[in-house]
Amino acid sequence: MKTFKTLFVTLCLALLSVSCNKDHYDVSNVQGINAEGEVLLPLAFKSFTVTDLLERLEIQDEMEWSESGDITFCFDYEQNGVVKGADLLKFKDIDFEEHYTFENNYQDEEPPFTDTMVSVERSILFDSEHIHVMRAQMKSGRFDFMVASNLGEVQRVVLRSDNIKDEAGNDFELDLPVQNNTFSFDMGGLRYVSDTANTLNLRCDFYVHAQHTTDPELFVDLNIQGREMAFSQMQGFIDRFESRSSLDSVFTLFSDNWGGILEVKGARIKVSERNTFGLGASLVVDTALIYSEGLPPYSVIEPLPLSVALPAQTEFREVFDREVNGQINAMGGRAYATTNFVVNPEGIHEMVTVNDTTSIDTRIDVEIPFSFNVDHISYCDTLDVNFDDLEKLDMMEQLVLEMSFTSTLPFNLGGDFLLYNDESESIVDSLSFSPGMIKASFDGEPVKTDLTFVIDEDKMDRVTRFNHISMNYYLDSDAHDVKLNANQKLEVFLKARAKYKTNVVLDEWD
Amino acid sequence: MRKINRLVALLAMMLAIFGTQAQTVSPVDFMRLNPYQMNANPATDLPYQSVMSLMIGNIGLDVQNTTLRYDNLFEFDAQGRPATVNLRQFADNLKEENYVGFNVNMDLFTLYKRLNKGVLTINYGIKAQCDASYNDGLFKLFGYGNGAFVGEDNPAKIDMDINAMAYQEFAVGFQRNVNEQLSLGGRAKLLFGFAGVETDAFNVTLVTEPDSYTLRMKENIAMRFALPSVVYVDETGSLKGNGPFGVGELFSNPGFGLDFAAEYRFDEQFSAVAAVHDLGFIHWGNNNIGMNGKLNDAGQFYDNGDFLFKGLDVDEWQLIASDDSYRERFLDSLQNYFQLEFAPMKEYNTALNSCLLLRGNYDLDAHNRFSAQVQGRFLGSGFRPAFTVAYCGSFFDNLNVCATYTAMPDSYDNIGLGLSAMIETCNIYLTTNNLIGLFKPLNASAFNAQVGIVFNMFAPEKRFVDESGKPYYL
Repeated sequence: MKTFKTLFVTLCLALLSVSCNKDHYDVSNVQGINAEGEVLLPLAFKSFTVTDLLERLEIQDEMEWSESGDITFCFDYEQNGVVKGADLLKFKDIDFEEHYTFENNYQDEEPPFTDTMVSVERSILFDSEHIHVMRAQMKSGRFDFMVASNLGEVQRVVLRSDNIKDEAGNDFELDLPVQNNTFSFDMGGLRYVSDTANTLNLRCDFYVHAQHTTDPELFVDLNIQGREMAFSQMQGFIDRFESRSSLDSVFTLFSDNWGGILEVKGARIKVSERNTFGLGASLVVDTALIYSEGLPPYSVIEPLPLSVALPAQTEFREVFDREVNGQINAMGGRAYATTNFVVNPEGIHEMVTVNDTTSIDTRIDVEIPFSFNVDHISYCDTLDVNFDDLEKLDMMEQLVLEMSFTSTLPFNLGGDFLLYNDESESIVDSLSFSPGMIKASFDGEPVKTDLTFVIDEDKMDRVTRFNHISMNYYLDSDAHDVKLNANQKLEVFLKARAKYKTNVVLDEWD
Repeated sequence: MRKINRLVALLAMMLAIFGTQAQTVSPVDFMRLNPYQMNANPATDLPYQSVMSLMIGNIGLDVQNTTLRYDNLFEFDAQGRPATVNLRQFADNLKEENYVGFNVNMDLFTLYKRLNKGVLTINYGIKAQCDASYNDGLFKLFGYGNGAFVGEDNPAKIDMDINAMAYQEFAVGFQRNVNEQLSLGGRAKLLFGFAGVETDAFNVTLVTEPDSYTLRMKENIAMRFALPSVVYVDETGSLKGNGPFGVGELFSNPGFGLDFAAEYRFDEQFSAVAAVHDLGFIHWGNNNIGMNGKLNDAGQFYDNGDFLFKGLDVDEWQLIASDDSYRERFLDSLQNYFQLEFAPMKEYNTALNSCLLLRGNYDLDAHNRFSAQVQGRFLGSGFRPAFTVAYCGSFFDNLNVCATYTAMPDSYDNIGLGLSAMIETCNIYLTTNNLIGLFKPLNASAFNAQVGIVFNMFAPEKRFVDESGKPYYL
């Protein structure tokens, strides 16, 4: 028992003699946290349908969608009044001078102090190569008269015409004062009726207050100017006449971000015409060219010239519908065409009524189905980013980005991403998908492409210093003729596997 | 430095709150001359006519921490100072299931008085107990990342079970020697709960889908709090303070408990004890608050009760990358999924941490006793057994020494020592159940300390006095 007690007391003293190291519990020097592990994280996803794609192209307004999702790229071009009735019903200005002489009855004696009247008559011709007006409603027109005479001062004039009618149907008669030997009248609103086409008969009675000349011959010099003469409607005859027209239009397909050549398949050009002349007409297309940057011009209509009959009708009628194949720059191009319209090509002599609203109108519809053979189309875009917190990424030992693409798009995809620092004006790193890396689906079945990018510590250091991404995508259909459909899409999924091994300094997280 | 302080505070909380195994075995339980051995064995026959203590009779602190170790948390520099926190090392040293417990016990008033038929015991004290179990999921998730937890069958699981209560205890007991072999004892305890925490569920599961790395988080947190009425839930569901604390708060939430024990002496050397402690409950009737943590439907990441993160739309990434205010709003919005909801709740009962005890004693002589004991305690987080062997002896006429060794699940290095000195009628004692833990408390699986001064007010009973009139235990 004594031995046991001795041992026990010794043990107690030994335990009590254990010293405590206070530094061991001094946590004031703890600098950080050593962390090591691997984090798996889904990062981003996106489903790009063709519709989304078109939104980015900002051309949705030009799109038409069928119920099955087929997409057609539509351009409308309408040119009203290729040939205008109003042009036919306008007449050239008239400048007419006439010298009238009369025998003086008072050659040897003083003329009596009474009024004297002399009358002149004149037929004025409305000059026109193509129309013969028998009846018409005057839209506008003004006659200016200048009179010079040895009779004395002309006080007034009375104008009369038997083929101009007032609103009540009476022959035209107008009594006008003459000042400074000039007078004028407006023909707007009057009606023209004549048995002889384009001819206006006019009689002018000039009144002089008191003749004083004893010259053997009296004379009146009359200067007539017809201005802005036009009919709003006419009845008469139209001869065959031609009118040349041209179309020169710059068109845009996609935004400036896109570049490359599209092989257009099965595009349709439709031309509709409306002819309200009441007479048959015809259209002859001489030239129809597409100019596109980087490509030689080519004719979209073969063979040329192309002649199309345009019967008289009040509604548009499709007169031309043809499939067109060819190449075009993704940015667009220029369409150029020249045409010749012929009214009354047969020269039929038949009375017609023409209004100033009568015209031949043209509408061109271009339908380009999204059916292409795409050869290296590219799309460029930029994105500004502000990843101040990316500095925390330096704790990562390795970042593995795993990208999964599921595509029903009928073209291969590739891309270059340049990470740019604005301050240092330098490219800090780049990421490339070679063209065709993301596989297309040519049979409608989803095609999956998995890509993995490993970003090591060195690369991580560079990646944290960019604030601008320049993106350049490439598309190609791998020599397939592909047709875009609204239901086709590209699903992108990005996930990350990040290995971290670091000492997180606590103050940095304060 | 502020972050370091926060970290240390967090660790301290984890060590203190998460590491709670209450009421482990103490050398006091085996010290034959310490009146507080009756806490473990109410049937014991004390060799005193009467005992009294006031305020400082028994102050006990008990901590059990099966796996959290200060030394495992840090990497140390050449001078032995902690330099960095090593999350993986810390996680690697955890077990799948871990346990921490905390217990404070203060007997403010004690009076034991021997009567004709036995000993009357009266106690008033304050107790605070907290115990929690937790798995290693949270720390391994931080230590390894979710790359170590991939697939439905290998989720990162964070499970916790936290239970705590603080209460006052008025105990009146009686010990009686039925005959020379058998002694019985028992105590009835009136309790007044002050505050309590009970966990019905605390589970968070994170599943990382192996192909897409999609993260699915399930959360189910349901806890009950019984708090003094100075804390309440307002109409918006927020916790609010409500004026000063009143004395009346100390006597709300009544409860009742029982201890009883039997000791049988086979002969002068061998005896056995069977005891049950803390059989009872506390009725939390006032100002109870329920806290529920379930995923809120706060937007795109909510999926049928789960938080589901499948990545972000590229357009949203662009906004986050280029727009500072959008990024701020986005990050703030994530908090909305994980809001804790507080709501007043009905009254409920909490069982006390009941304990079963079986002990065998061998008295070598009048001054030396060897004991072996098995004890099991029902805690909120589970059943905790303990096996103890103890030696108790008297030395130098006034020194009592008790040495113990206790083995508990995940805690096998508990060598305890108790010392007590009799100075006149004054019994001063100091004990611990883990001497190693005394010097390395943050690295010990268990730590217990009890101190106190007890007054033996009258002369010992004749049967405990030798022929010279001196108490034989001295």
